[in-house]
Amino acid sequence: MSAISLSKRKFSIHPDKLLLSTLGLLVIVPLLLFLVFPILIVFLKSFQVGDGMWGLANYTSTMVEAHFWIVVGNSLWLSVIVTVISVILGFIFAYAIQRSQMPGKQFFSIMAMLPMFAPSLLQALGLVFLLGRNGIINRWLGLDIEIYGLWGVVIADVIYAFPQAFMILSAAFAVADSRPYEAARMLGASKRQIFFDVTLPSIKFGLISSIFLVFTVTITDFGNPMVIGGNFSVLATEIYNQVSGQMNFNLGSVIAIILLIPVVVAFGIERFAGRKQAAFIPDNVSPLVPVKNKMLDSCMFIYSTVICGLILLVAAIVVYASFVKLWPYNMSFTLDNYKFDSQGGYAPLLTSVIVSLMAAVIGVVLVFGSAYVVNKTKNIITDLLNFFSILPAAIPGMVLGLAYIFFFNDTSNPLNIIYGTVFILTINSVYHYYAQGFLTASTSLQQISSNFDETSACLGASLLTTIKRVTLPILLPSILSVGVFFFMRTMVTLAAVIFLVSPKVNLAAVSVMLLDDAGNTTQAAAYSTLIILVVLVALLFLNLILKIFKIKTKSLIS
Amino acid sequence: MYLQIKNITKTYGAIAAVDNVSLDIAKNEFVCILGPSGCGKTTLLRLIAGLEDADQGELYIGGENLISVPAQHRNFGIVFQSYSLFQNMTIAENVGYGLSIRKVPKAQIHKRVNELLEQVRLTDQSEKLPHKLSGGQQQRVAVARALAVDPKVLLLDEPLSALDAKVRKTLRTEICEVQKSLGIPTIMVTHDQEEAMTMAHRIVCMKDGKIEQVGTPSELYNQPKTFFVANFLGSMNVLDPFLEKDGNNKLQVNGEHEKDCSIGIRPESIKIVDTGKHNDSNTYHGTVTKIENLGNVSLIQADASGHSILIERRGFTNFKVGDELWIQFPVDTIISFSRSTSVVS
Ligand SMILES: Nc1ncnc2c1ncn2[C@@H]1O[C@H](COP(=O)(O)OP(=O)(O)OP(=O)(O)O)[C@@H](O)[C@H]1O
Ligand SMILES: [Mg+2]
Repeated sequence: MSAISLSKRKFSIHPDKLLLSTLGLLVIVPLLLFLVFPILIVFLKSFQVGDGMWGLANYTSTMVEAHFWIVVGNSLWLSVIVTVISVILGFIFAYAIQRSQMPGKQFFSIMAMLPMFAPSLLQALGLVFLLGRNGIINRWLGLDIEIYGLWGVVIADVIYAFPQAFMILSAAFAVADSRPYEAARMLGASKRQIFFDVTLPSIKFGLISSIFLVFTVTITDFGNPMVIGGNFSVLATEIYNQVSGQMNFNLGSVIAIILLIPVVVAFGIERFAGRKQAAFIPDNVSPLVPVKNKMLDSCMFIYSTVICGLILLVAAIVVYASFVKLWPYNMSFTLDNYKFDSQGGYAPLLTSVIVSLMAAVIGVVLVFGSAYVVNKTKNIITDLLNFFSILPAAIPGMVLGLAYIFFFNDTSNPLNIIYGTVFILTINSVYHYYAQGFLTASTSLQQISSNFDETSACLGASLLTTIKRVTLPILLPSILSVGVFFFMRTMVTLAAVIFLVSPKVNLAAVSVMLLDDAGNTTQAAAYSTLIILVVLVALLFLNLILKIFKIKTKSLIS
Repeated sequence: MYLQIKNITKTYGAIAAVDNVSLDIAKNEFVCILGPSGCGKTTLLRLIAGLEDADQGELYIGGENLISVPAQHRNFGIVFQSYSLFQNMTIAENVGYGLSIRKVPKAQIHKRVNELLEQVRLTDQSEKLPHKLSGGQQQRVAVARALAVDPKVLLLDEPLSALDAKVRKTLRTEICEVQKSLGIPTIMVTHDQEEAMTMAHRIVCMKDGKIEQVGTPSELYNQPKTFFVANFLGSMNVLDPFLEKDGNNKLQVNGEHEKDCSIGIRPESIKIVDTGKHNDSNTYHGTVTKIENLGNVSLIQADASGHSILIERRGFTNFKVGDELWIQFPVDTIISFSRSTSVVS
């Protein structure tokens, strides 16, 4: 058996190295084509003044307008308010889940994720049905609350950003070593002192990371300000207005570049803090088990019930409205809202499912390919690959969408053939959510000890054999969850694809927005309901697969 | 010699993790690489395995140079400290993995796997997944997996470090038996001197990427070449100061004392004698400064003419801190070793 031919050893390039370089090439070329180049074009366009002329004129003319500064101020102000509120709410919620002994913790943490399974404008729709001019509350109580504007967007975005703040903080609270807590108790620290001296420092970086993530999510959100913003205009909607309304592409790119600035800064800080929090995990922790505390547990239970109740209420009212004849005048049951008479009927939903499935498959292959290459080799090219793979997290959806119009709607570009097809929508979604998928893939690859590969190599396996028989089976759970992540996000995304759809090839989330724009609020509600339904079915389906094949996963939603 | 390592070097940046190491190993020899953390033991093992590319040097097996052959084609078996069983495969699949890569027929794999599992006494666990097994069992599977392909060399990187003391002892014997029955050169990395002393035919003591001394366990213990080796395997009292004393207090040694050598004595070689014998040669007055009773032995720290001396006695001792005693360094048990590295402790 030791007769493995030693004549093989004089390869000029070892086949394993060849495999890695090929894989590297297969992921880096599309990253350049579908991410780096389009983004660069946005930069160029922002400096283009008329045909073949370059200069700062777009910037100067934008910046002298008072309206522009109002929009910048709106965006920042909105994001700050939303960040403060969602992080505080998420902090308490995460504390309740991880550090109390209240009942129903698992149920609450699933409920808290609900807003992630729907387009961001679902919250806005729900709020309109609740608090709008024709909303339940104003109707029943005879009030005249005005929801359109800053506060409407604030509430909608808080609900939208809350799960993301909660997830990061919950993860930070979860890795707790009981020893410092016991040591502090032994030293006579009060509960309050322990909270400020032990608890807070241990989640410090998670907190910073959640603050900047929520800020990013809010400042780049497009759906909520669009539906419920009224005259309250933010940078994301302004890009849309400039481009779609006034066909002013160069001004659109100026605003896109300006939107990029706070996002890149916030993202940089978020990454830095996130890495610190991860590095904080000590070896051999003796995990902290929260003790029963009647007072705390009941307060936390009530708090969690209220939060989840509100989240559910906003979603439920949309579902309810979708079955109503003529909101708010005739509230009798009907299925008419599901007979969509405009916006292509069910076609966009079908397209969304197809695009999401394709995005899941292509996304998984690409992000795991990138993560594998980055984890296996260290050189300048893989450093660059790593950077490009994380970059999309700092690119707002509106900017990516704009970049795609510039790049692909150009007949001199051979890739122009995919413009207006489902492929551009798929690719756009893949690269929009590339970073999160890549980071999950990277983390799970890092958790596989290199000893596995080495043992396998010593037993005579080539790299390809090792990948097929050892790496992939271990990765299967995270492959599935990354796939579901791409599917879910693509089903609900609006910002990036809004520029890329056409009457012929439309997507579900865009349909919701167009229906709402046309005043068909109940049909918009029906369409949202269908999206939620598809996402939930996909999740159930995945759970079923996991159950059948007895695959254990840690987290389904990355 | 069957396995020959010649002038092998590996540097990481400015650190020479393995520095010009040469070593010959016979066909059925069990060699332990012993040394403090970071001295390059793992790196040397990985160079032999082909998991690391050497900066320079050769590696011969039965006369054939393997240095440019990748790990896949060397056919060496390796076992890591973290058992590294493939979690997605059963015990039997783990053991048979190497054979299935070689496209050995199923029936033959089955037979060989059963043989090996019998050898490591795990036949009844063959269909289980690795996480259902204890650490010791998992490590036995890892050994069986490495042996399944009839490796030319068996490499073990601290295979017992993650196990508790009892399991470690039984596995030591098992590994030795398996090695003996197969007669393949086996190299085991460890930083546990007891493990090295009990298991190895020869010990390679490393320090800062270089080999400090190679020899049988008794050679390393009784004739250490440097203070580092002397002190790494057990403890050593340096007796140099006693050479400079005048009159009948001057230490007597066998033969001529060489200029660049230090002399020392192991704690267990020192005698405690009655007051009446205080005029014997090599006998000094001392005061007890510290007592440690370990059960089977006790350690007495004494101060003799201003120098601290460690004495080991069997069983519990009745001496107390402050007691006076006479200690004797029997001439035959005094060891001489190179002074060059005697500063390290
Ligand atoms: N991949 C690497 N990159 C950089 N330096 C390394 C690498 N691997 C080892 N070293 C360095 O080489 C030296 C020897 O490391 P090695 O792992 O061989 O030590 P060791 O004797 O096995 O130690 P231990 O007993 O702690 O396992 C150390 O200084 C280590 O920091
Ligand atoms: Mg080591």
